[in-house]
Amino acid sequence: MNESVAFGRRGGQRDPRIIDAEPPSPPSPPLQGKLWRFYRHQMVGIPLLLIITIAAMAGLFGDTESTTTKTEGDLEARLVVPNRFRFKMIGPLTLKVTNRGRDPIEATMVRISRPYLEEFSNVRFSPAESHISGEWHVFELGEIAPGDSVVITGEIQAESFGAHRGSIEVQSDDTIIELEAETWAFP
Amino acid sequence: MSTVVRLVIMYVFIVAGLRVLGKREFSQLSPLELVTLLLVPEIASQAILGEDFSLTNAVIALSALFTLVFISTLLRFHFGRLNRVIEGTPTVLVHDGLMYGRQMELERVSEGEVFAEMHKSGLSALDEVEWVILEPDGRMAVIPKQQETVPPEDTEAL
Repeated sequence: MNESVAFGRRGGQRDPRIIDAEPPSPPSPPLQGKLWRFYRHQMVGIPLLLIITIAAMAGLFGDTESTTTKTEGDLEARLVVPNRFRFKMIGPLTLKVTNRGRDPIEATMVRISRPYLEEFSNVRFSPAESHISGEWHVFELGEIAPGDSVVITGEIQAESFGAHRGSIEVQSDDTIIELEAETWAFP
Repeated sequence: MSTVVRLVIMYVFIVAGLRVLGKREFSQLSPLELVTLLLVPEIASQAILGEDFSLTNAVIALSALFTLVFISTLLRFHFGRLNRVIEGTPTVLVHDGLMYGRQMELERVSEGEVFAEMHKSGLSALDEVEWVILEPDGRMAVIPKQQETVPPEDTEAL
């Protein structure tokens, strides 16, 4: 640590009171063996800070998604929503509707509850919703051929914090699948 | 997880960087040094927080920072060697009326700066100085030579 390198040449005369010798050690303080001593508030606060740090490292405050799949008759719906995400972060809202039967499914419709979506900002879907009816954003998907799928891809951005719950319904001629979405938005 | 990792990396990097710069940067700030120290948090905050400006992220980052600071100070207090690595050691610039040129060059302290500190302590000549020590926090401690006291009986004789 105390090793050094020097460059250049000194110009002019040097005062004899300036020397290059190693200086003596400065006065040093008296030493004592040390105990690990803490205030009471530190005994509470420090573990708390440590817990927050470790929890964050374990991913407890990180973004997660939840996937729910439900089948009713020939109709299958697979929903992906953010399970938890942080303020202003963008998460996916994806719904895949599949026809598992041998016959086409007519007039397929998806409804996503409006109060749920209103908790977020920058809500975007592709394809866009056909219309908004009362408490629902309605997507008219039309006919789905056997084995085919239609995917609604969306994005939502966390705005107000807390737990936000909503319903998603997938409806065909005679079948309705109800899915629950729950998203925690951290402040 | 990534916030904590980014914070730890930046903390170690900044502490090491400031340690490399030397003691002087902690005390009397020149314009160049001031700009450096103002820019460091600007650059570091982006690297630590990224695009996530949520309260959650700030709480996590601050918790990790406070934990790091507390653990650093705790280890520094209990392990002297670690303290010397992180904080550095005092540097003797003047002892017993002699200036140590090599130390002054290493610490980038001029003769004029040493004299300025001496003047603040009411000293004007090197002969009057026992120690000038550049402390790890960047401040100079000036200790004058002890005045030779005349014993009372001698005073009476005079």
